[in-house]
Amino acid sequence: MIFTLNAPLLDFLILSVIEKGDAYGYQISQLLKKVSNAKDSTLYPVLRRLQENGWVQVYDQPYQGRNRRYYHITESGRLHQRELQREWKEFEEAIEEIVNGGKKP
Amino acid sequence: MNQKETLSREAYMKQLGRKLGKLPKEDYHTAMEYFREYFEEAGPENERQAIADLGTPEEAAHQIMEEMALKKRDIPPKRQNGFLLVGKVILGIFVVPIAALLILSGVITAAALAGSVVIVLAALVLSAAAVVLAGGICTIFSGLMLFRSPANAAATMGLSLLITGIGLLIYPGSIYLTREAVRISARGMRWIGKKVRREKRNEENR
Repeated sequence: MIFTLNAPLLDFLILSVIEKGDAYGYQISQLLKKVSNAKDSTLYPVLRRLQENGWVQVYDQPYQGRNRRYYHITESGRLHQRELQREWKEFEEAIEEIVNGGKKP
Repeated sequence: MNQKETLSREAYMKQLGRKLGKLPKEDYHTAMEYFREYFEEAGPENERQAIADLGTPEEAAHQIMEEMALKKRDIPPKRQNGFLLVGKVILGIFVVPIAALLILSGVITAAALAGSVVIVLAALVLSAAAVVLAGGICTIFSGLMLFRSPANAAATMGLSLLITGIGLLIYPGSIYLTREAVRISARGMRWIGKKVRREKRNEENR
């Protein structure tokens, strides 16, 4: 992928993933791999930050004898995700306009 | 030899653990747990791939430390208690004029001090000059008397010469003192200017 993710976009993706359902760390990193060239280790501080901002909560659940930490979106997290989605839609449309806009002769 | 290729999960975790050593205990354990879980989920068959995907322990640790540093510095507005904010605003309203007055009085005191030093020095120079002048005039006048009453004239002239001498001694000394005072205060001003500029630069960089 040539295009890189910035911090808000990364937040948007993560929140969008867990908005549909709680997810664990490795699961999230595998999903993001499709669009991000960034190293998976960078995901951890981002998840921390999302928790600090009160958008994400964590809980542990045992799985096959080991522990899994799940990330759960909070109410304010949902609000923020919707905000980011509006921003993203604007951005998408603006890009669209530049790429495909203008009348053809 | 590519460092990543020779790294095992154990070595990776050990290196990571070392680099994160400075973290507070809880943050350290949460971080290490995340990576431990990552390896567990990837499974031993994907260990190599996992290490490649994660990036080097140095990079990982660096990102984490950076995030920690940022966390300590900004407090998101959501976190601040409403009451605390109102209290801070009220305090600010009271503190600002008091602080301004204190600074003003400090400046005035400093100016007064500097002013009085200037006056004292100026007085010294002037009085030295006055003494020399007075002594000189007396000498001349006593000289005029010389032919009318020699004894009187001689005594007066002696005295006036003495006074002139004293004045002449004091005069260069007072000039020197004044010059030194000016030099020292100039250096003081420059030092203050440097400090103010450094503080400003630090503020901008923050």
